[in-house]
Amino acid sequence: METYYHPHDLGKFAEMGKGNKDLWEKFMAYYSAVFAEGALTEREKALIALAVAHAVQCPYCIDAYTQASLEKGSNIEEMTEAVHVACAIRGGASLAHGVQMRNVADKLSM
Amino acid sequence: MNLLCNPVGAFLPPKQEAFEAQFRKELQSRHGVEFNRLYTITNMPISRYLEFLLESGNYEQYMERLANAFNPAAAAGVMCRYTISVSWDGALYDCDFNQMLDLPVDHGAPAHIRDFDPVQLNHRQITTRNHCYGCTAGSGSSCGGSVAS
Ligand code: SF4
Repeated sequence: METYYHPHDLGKFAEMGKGNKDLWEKFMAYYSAVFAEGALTEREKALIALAVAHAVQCPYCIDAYTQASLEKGSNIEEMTEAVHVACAIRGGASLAHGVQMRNVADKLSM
Repeated sequence: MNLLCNPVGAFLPPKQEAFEAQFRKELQSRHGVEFNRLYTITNMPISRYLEFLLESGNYEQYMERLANAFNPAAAAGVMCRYTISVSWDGALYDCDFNQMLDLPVDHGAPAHIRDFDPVQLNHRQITTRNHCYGCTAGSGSSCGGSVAS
């Protein structure tokens, strides 16, 4: 095996249903409902999914939601901004934990 | 004014209604532009676009995308069911795409305008190839935009 990730494995996602059909169907029903047009448009949801895909660093999701975002009518500027939102939150989350570091350091220091 | 939109790449067009609403809002707020309708059209895997798909290594993935998105409701509304394409020399084709591909009407119906026979043409078998998946994917595609919701 040259790499753990293969693009064609994305097409095998449904095989996860073989292990537990009931849970798979529940998940898929929930998944479809989440991405359906609601208070947010399908396009906005695809952009959120794209940002989250980068935050969780899932190459399958990045592939799928890059395509989905383009197909829902988003452009590369919007998609790039979505990735920056993920980046800012990830970076900000690290930095915000610096407060913990300062708290501990303050307590330990004379 | 009507707008036409083809995807600029190897992906399907957005849903026509949602995209029209988005364009209406953006064009109005950014440029004060109003329009009547926006039509989305799927890129057919023929000619220059086919060359792009092959050269960019996207052909297989795009065809798979089209086939997986096959929508029977869209197939019921494809334009070859109610229009005919006539070339400069009078030859009849099921659609402009078939004309580009030199696939004339040839299933028991007249293939020239001089023998025009609406009854026979109405009952002809349409000449289909892989490119037809472009008309039947998702919300479908015709010269009048999407054909199914
Ligand atoms: S490309 Fe195929 S499905 Fe589409 S209009 Fe022509 S014959 Fe019909």
